[in-house]
Amino acid sequence: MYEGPIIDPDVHHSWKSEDWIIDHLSPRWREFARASGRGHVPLAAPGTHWPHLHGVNKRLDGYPADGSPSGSDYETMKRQLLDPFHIERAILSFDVGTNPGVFNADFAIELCRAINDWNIEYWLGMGDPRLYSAILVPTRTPEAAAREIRRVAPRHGHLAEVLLVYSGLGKPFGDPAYDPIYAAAAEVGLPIALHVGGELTCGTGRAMAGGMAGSRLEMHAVASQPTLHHLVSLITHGTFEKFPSLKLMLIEVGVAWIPWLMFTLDAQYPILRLESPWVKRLPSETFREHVRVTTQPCEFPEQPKRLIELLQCFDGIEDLLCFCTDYAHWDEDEPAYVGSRFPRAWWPKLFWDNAAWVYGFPRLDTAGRAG
Amino acid sequence: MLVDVGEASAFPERGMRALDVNGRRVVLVRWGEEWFGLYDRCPHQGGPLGQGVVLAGPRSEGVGRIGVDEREPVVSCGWHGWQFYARTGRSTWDEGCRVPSYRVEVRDGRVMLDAPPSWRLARQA
Ligand code: FES
Repeated sequence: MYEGPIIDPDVHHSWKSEDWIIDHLSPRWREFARASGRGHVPLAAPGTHWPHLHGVNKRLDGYPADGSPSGSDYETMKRQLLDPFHIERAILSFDVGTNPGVFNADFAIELCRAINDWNIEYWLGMGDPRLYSAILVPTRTPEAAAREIRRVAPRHGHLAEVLLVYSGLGKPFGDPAYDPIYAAAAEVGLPIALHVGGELTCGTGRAMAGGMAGSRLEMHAVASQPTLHHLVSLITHGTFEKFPSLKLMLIEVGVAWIPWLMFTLDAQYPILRLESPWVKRLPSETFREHVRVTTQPCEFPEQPKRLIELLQCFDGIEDLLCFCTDYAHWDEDEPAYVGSRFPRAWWPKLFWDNAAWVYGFPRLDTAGRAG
Repeated sequence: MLVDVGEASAFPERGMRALDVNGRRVVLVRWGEEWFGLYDRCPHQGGPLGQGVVLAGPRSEGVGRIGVDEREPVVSCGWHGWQFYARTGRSTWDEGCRVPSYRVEVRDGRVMLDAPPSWRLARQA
């Protein structure tokens, strides 16, 4: 069993009460948020919902004893995740960061600002050196998103990534309309994290090609569709040519698709590159150089070696995969279990070094300790 | 070896509770007048079964039709929802997958769990 330190790039955290966020809005928007008289306006887009087995998308023991939302309580997270699994760096990434999907674009800008301020104050202010977090940005207004990145990034050294969940313009993320976000991220030296979910849960009608799934099983099996499209879009639009220092972490899309998608892109690139002449190298080379992929929800064939054989079809795969838990969602992965499915020789890279490269953390030292 | 794990009336009519019995985590399931014991560790990724839910077991009634079997309660793991029959510990869908199960009986209003002798030995060691 792997017993070394772990970077977990996918930890879902939250607020105990939405009032905490509303209190961080500017007076005018606070008034707007509370104007409904009873309750307040939603702080996220109305969701598309496939029923969960237990009615919620959380593991059932993830709820704090005080009845507050899952992921909102530091002590619970510490007891269930950070301490027992030796998580030395947890990248807190909201739950799941679809708030920029609220229908009012100006409110989305203000909401992201309030959430980022609250996050720095509350979670990063906790003083636990293991806690890092994402910057949430209003993707419908890329210029405003870029301003938010530049505003907030210098404010705390533990802001580790710019999180994209919801493609606010209804275009794949490689569309040049989003370039201001990448320019700002590159400028402040932060990677982009692309987390599955925005299209699925923001009522966009773009959840999946072919039509809406009729069950969670059906949906879950193809949930990575939009994210894989975003990846292809980023590569073929030359985003990494325009921003050569940009790194991308793909979160919650599993890993078994990598050989298929890269082989497909590479095979079609020589024929179709006319449309992407600025992409100077094979797509798989760009992928290797700029992208890392988290393992959850990991594919677990009956014989573990089958997954490894499949992955090894893509050279250097062990340099690309990063373990993550997805705490405290209902389908989270447990480190010992995931470790048991991967070759021991991959563990230091899987649990630490590959993610460390994305976030700019030191690699493990020769004794396997975190630097 | 029967171990007294508490007053029967203190257990919910349909529910479960995780307990420590001779150093082992056990889930005690009550389903009306029936009682069952399971090991509190899910064979999938080690989640705590006792943090899940108990419900009437599923029964397939042909493609597109799912019924329930009130006589066969299942424990649904609180992590990813794998389900096990409370009576046998067997998975509802995979014959080869099961959670260790223990006999439970009620005597004079007390709930007694039949703990394997090895538990006591392990505890003494
Ligand atoms: S750990 Fe119980 S279902 Fe996964």
